Amino acid sequence: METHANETLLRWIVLAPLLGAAVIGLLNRRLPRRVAGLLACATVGLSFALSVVVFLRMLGLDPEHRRLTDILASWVAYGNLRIDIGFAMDQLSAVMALVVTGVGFLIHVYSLGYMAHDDGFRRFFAYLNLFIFSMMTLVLGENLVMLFVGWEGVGLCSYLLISFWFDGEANAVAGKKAFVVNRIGDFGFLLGMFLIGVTLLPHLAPGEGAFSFAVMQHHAPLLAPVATAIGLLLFLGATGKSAQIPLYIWLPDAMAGPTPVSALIHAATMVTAGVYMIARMNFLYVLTPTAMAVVAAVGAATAIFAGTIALAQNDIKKVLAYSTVSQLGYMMLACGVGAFAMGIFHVMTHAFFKALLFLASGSVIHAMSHEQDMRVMGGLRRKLPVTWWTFLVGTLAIAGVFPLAGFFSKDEILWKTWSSGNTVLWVIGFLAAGLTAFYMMRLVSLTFFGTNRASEEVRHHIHESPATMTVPLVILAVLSIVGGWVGIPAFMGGGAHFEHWLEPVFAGGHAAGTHGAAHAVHDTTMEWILAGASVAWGVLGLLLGWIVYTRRLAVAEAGRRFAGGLPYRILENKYYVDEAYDGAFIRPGYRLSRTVLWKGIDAGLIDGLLVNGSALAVAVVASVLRLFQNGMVRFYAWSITVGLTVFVLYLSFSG
Amino acid sequence: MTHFEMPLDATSWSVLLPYLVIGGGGLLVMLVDAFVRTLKKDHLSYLTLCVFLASIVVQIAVHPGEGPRLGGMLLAGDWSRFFNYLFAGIGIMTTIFATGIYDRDGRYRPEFYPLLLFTVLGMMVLAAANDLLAVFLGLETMSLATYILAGGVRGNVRSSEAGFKYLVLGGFSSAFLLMGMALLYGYAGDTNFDAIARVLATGGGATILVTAGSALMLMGFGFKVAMVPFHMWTPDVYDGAPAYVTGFMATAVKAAGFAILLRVALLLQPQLAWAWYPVLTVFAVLTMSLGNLVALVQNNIKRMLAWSSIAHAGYLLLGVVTLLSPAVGDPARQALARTVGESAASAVLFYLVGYSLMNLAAFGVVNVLSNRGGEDADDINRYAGLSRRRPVAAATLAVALLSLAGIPPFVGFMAKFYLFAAVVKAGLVPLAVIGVINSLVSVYYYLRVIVVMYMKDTEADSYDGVEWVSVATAGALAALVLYLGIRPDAFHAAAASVIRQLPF
Amino acid sequence: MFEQFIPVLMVLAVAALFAGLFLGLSNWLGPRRPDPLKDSTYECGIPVRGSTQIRFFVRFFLVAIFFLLFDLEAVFIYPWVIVYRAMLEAGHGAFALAEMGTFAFVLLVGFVYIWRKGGLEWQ
Repeated sequence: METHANETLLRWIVLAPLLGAAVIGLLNRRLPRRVAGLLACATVGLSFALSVVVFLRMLGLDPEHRRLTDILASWVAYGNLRIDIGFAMDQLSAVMALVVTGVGFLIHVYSLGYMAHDDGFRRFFAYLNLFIFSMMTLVLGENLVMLFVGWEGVGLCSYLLISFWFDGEANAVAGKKAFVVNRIGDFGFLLGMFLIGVTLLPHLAPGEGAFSFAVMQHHAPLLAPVATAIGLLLFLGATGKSAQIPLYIWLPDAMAGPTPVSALIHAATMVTAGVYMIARMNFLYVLTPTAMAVVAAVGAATAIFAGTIALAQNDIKKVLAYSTVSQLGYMMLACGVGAFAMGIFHVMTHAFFKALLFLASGSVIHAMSHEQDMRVMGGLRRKLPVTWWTFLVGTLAIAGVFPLAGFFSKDEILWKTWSSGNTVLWVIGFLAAGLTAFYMMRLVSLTFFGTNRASEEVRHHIHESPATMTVPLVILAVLSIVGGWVGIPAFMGGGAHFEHWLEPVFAGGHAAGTHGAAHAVHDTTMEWILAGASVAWGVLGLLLGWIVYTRRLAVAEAGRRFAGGLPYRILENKYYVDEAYDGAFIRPGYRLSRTVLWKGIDAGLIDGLLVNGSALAVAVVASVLRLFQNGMVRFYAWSITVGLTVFVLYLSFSG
Repeated sequence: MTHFEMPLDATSWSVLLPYLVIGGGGLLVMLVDAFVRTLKKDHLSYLTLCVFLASIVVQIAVHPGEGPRLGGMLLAGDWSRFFNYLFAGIGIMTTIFATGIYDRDGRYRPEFYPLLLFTVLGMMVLAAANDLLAVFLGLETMSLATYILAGGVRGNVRSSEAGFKYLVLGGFSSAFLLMGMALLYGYAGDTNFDAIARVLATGGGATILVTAGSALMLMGFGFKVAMVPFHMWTPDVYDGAPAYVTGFMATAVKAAGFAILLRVALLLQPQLAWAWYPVLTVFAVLTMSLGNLVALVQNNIKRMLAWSSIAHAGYLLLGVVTLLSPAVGDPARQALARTVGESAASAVLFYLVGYSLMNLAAFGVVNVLSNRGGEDADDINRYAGLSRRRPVAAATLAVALLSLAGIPPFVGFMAKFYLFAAVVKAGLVPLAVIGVINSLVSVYYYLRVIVVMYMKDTEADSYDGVEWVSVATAGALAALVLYLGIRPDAFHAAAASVIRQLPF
Repeated sequence: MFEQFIPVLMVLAVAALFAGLFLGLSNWLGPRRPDPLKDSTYECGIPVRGSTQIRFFVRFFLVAIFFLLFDLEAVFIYPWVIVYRAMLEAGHGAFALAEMGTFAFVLLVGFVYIWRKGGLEWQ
């Protein structure tokens, strides 16, 4: 294993938000609102500052030594099994840490304004801080178990925040749905983890932590025989957390939570955990072409599938939600074709522009008196200038317009897909890119162009948001523009710094692997052609969206009539997947639960025979035993003697 | 005729020091109680706490080395140190709980403090004993003082009954124990453990003496740890004694009993495993099953905890059974035998500590309530609505009970995990399954209390004020229960290192 | 190794034999003519008054137990006396004396405690 430098700042990166959450959560009403809000922002800000400090220190080190660890304590040491409570930061987690704390900080600040009048202000910030803590545990965890702790922690926070306004039944149901769906994924994750443990443990020296990433990577060849099974199981976990087919269904419903939550958890950070985990486990995935192929295929399928659904949604947040699912599909696609660095690159740029889009949509919703239906919006361009301009930047970025952030990451993903020979996947990804541009422009057109279709009263209240909300928007907009420039690819004369930065993390995997983007032929001409094509395709999508939904409403109507009742209804109803799941799993499951499990097994077998039966048996036994426990000392002494006699007799006859 | 070595050299004094501190402390407390007229109620308890703390400090400061000392009477080293810490810790908690009760009611009992110190002295000698004489001396010192503690509430019929029953049956069992020791002495011609081990190894002498003797001794120790069928005193005595004494008996006396049971089991293991193994297996299964079954139908929390303590003795016996199992005795696989033996013994130690923590936390809460609620204060139904009115007490009790039920992330879970893991390692899967089924059964009666506390409500607060120092102490214990459940490791390693001192 | 116990067993057997023999003989040979006076309790010629099963003042027991306690403790001095000379010759006289001193001191503390706590007062 490579040498690790010790870095005790790491623990404070993680613990600072926890302290904030603890103080706010415990003092709650005793803490003035302003103090609670500022404390929450300050702790996350501190976390970010420390991440920057550590990052700068890391820059001063050799690329091979850029792995800093901070082991707090041994958690479990039983036999051969050793699990530490510890944190580690290498190039990959450094990127994630900066993105999470940075975007997290901005969203905290934004929330100060957005949640200013909410009754649950303190509770909200306590949860939000707890989320940052969990997310940092996930990102900086030194081993897979720590990662899992963070994984479950963010799941919990996500659940708490989706049903934050728990007095609305829909919100509570959405939270529950997210929780249940994620549990299905976690089940796969756990099984994968167990499989790693079972495979590795017999081969490890005592004191080697089986789940430590460094150790797992070191012993990756031992995992090769079961790599496909592990990879698929872990990927099941990732489909839950990162909202991929078939477990994506919870994410759109998760929009029931406050908008900053949607921006932070359900767009920028938590949902990328699955991508991060797969990139983290790259040394394992490169051993298994099958699992890689599944990851890539599921990613591409999710990208196009969610993109089509987004075309027909009318709730502004739902569009963004499906767009998130679709973009997560891109990231998975990148990982699946071996371009882990590009997946993470897209995680970062997506965090910028999707957080921006969500926060800007929050600003819109805020202005529209909590109206989310785009059909009653329109013409907000003038009334919300900052929101409008920043939203536009976000839209251009996600559509992949050169030279905004989204262009570089998305284009690189498509190029790596192409160059690794997956033409079909490339076609799907390319189509999805066009769709993205189209539905985003549809959103912009319906919201910001035309005339306002809201009621008089609502229209009267439309106002630009306060500075706490607009400043983060502007910062994120700037990041959405320049964020991609750290990864300008070589063919454009850039240094591809981002890829090189992450290279040491993925190098081991590539060296051991049988395929991957690194081996692809570099064909600069083709790269130019594809890049040009995708920009053109994106701009075309934008234009179409603009024209159809602003200029020629008649055309839009005609198109709609052409695309018709049925296809449109299908899209509007999200391919009836929820209904299909309902019919295929939930109803039968419910019926099974009700008739067989509840009435039959629970009420009949367990309650009837086991519980009542055993209660009866216990009552009978106990009443018999009560006769023995009669309080008579003489009898007690007698029973001691009998017991002893039996014992001695047994010994004499068996000896 | 007899050769005398210099009986007490410098090392001997350092071995004796903790015992002298506790014993001398007991005498001091007696004298202070007898002579100082201006004594306030709490003063004796402060003095007692100081004595316990002094013994801990002495243990930390003085290292007399390892091995038999004082002419082979006591075993010095980590083993005895471990138990001395445990007993001193339980003693401190018991002192705090007892004093909390004296705070308001008229039943101030100054004699409690010296008796507690003498009990602990007896336990320390018992756990460190390396000679049958020391075993008996320690056991009787412990027992005699406990008889009085159990019956100590003067004027309370149930307490007197508890003390009387315990005295009579305890004397009865001590007689058997003494007979067993005599037979063992007759077999080996010596009372020293090491000498007995040597004779056992050579295999001379009449086997019937050692089998019968060991059976009688097993009965004697089984009585102290409440092993079925020698358990029958337990519910009556635990119920009748004041709750802080019950908590003390259920933890410290049990720990001392298991300490000596482990020592004797290891001593006799090479020659007598064949006899003890099947018998103890049956006893262990009976103990946990009976304890859990009868605990299910109890309505009095002290009685419920008494039966639960019998059940936990059953789990602990599984550890002893594992030590005696064929897997440990197999000479062909010595390395495996050693790891299995070590993991079983260290699991027992870990369990003892975990069990002491959670049980003391439970009894700490029961104790304060039991003295503030009149006649039926220990009725589980009286705990309805406790979570509203006494949130800290209720939460502490809930944590303690969940831990006793073996639910993660509390120490009870880890303790059972280590124990059952050792049982499985020895290949005794059916026993582990029985143990797990028993834990499942136990969840019912522990949860029942929590349900009453948290989900039922009554209108009036039926307890008139609780004593906050006791509740805070119990709360701290509950926090420790949680901490050790999450981070059991360092402590488990310590228990494992203590075990290495014993012969395997 | 049991051989050495045979004399003990013989003594026991002889004792049982003789006791049984004489009890049996007197039972068999002795005449039996009971009357109320003969069946009454024999109290050295003094007429019996009341029942023998009366309550005693609890202090009797207390004093009796204290007596028994200290009396029994004295038994421990015997073995010490036996080894004392040997220890004296081995040069450990002072230690042996100190040991007995400790023992006596502990007893004394107990005694003082009883005394100060009023255990010896009749009322």
